[in-house]
Amino acid sequence: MNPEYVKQGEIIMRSKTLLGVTVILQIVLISCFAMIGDWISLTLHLPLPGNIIGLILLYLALKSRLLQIEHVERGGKLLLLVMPLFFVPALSGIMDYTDFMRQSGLQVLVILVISSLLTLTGSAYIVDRLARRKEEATVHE
Amino acid sequence: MSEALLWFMLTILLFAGAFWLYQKYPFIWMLPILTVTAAVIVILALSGTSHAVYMSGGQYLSKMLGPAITAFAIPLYHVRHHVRRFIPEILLGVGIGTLIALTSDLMLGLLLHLERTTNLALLPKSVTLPVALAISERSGGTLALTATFVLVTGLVGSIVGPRLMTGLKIRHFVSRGVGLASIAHVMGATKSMSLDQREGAVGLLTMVLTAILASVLAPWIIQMVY
Repeated sequence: MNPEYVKQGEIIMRSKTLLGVTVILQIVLISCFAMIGDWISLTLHLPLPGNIIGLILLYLALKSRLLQIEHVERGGKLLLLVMPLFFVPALSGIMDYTDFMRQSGLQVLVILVISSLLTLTGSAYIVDRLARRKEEATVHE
Repeated sequence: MSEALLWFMLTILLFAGAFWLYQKYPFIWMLPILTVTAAVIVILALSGTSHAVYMSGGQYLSKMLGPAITAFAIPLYHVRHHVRRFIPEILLGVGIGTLIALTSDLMLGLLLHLERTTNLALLPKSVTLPVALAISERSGGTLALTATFVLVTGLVGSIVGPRLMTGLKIRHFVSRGVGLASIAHVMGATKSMSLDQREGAVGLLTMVLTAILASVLAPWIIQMVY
């Protein structure tokens, strides 16, 4: 765990078991937000998925001090750290599409790469110029 | 049930091993997402197990993606002060990015005579997975392909993107965050987060805004092109 947590003067965890339980409870709490988001998305027929609505709700709860950052921080950091793990099952599904990949895999890859290059260059280049101009303007003030 | 548990535990163990290896040897092709996926495919192929059987255990890992995306509220909360003043730039970047991504995709697909269902499945490739699936479903794309395309785009983008931006002299944290997440969605935002927390927060906001904008724009652009 990151030593900066201890610096912040919160209660130092006495044992590893207690820390483990805390992390799990925090993950459950974050999952509740995701589930509430799912429910809202389904009931209101929103185009946004529940986990993004959950993100917005959790952010609002933190910002309005309804929830302290310490109540979710440890669990959240762990979830984000191991996030690549959650992509593995879907990504390994590519094994069922070997025939498709042999047929049009190259075409798709070419489109995917060209389109991504155009997107990244287009958006990042313009934003970079604007952001730097704003930064310079603030420095000169 | 026991088989589901076996695949579930095996994936976690493989990930723990890959994570440890990556700390020791931090090369691109040692990224846990690459090594673990490759290992899972090899193990399934060698043992003659179908991916559907693997998913009986794997689905529980996929379900954790939801809470993980929700957990992004935490870093977003930490850096809110850095990001707030750049919201107009981020909005503009997302608008440009989403427009280029959607139109270039459909145009290139038509140019290379891609099948309609494949082209529509490819369309939301830069949108975070759950939203991409929803977009693909509504427009009539092949869902399983959409999942693969989204993940491959995320993977390629988060590996090539940072180097490309450095090469193009794109250095400001706002533009780097927008650029990477506008192609590599949540995977790009995660990558940005590991480089710089402010960059990651911008990426996150970009991911959310791209998801909203693409859901609205996609049907409209499909109608124009097809």
